[in-house]
Amino acid sequence: MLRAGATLLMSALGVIDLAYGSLYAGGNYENIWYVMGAIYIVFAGITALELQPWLFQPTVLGYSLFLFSAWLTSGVSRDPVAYSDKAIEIILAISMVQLIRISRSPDPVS
Amino acid sequence: MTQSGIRKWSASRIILVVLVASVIAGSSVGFAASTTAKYQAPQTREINVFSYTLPFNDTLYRLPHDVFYPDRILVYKGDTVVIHFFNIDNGTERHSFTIDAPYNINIDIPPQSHPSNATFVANVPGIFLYYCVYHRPTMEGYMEVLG
Repeated sequence: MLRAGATLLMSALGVIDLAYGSLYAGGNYENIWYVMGAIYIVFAGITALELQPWLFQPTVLGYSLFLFSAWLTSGVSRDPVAYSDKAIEIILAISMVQLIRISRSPDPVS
Repeated sequence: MTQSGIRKWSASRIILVVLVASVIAGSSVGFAASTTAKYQAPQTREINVFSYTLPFNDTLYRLPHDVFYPDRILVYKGDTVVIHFFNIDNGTERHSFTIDAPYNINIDIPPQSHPSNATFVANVPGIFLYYCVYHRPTMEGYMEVLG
C-alpha cells in the first residue's frame, strides 16, 4: 500500500515536472525539468517493480530531498505549480522514510 | 564501503546519512545557482552621449535649451565604461560631460565632427550626476552604477 502510494507520488511528480518544463519554464532551463521528471518516472517504475529496494529506496529519498533543498535555496520557481510539486515531494520523502524503515525492519510487512 | 556493508545499515542510520548528504548537496547546488543568476560579469560598456538642443527660445525662458541624450546611463559595478561624448552643436558653444568625485570625469569640447572619449571603471555603486559646466540645470543626467 505504501509502495503503491510512493509510486503514485513519483509518477505525479514526473508528470508535473515534464509539464512544467514544456508549459511554464518557457526557455528558462526547461531541459532541467524534463530530466527531473524523467528520473522520477524511472524511479516510479523501479519502485513499482520493487527492484533492489535496499539501493533505490534511499536513492529516491535522497533525490527528493536534494531537489527540495536546491529549490528552497535557489529562490527560483515560486508559483503555485512549483509549491504543489514541492509539497508532493515532501510527502514522498516521508513515505520513503517509512518504506526504508519497514523494509529494513527484522520482520518486513510490506 | 561494500554493498553488503550498506545492506546491513540500520534504517535510522541510512536515513540520517541520506538526509544530511542530500540536503548539503541540494543546498550547495541551490546557492550556486542563485549566486550565478545574480552575478553579472563585468564588461566593457561603450556609451554614446550627445549634446542636443531643444526647440525653444532660451532667452525667452531664461533657461539653457541644451540637454544630454541620453540623460540616464545604467552600468554594473566593475564594468569598464567608455563614454563617447559628441558635441553636435550647430553653433560654436562648448559643452562638457562632467562627473564629480569619485569618478572625476571631465570632457570639455567645442563642436566637432568626432567624439571625445573617457574611460573609467565603475567601481563605486550609486547614482552620480553628470552635467555640462556651461548649461546647468537643463544639461544634466544620471549615471546609475548597480552594485
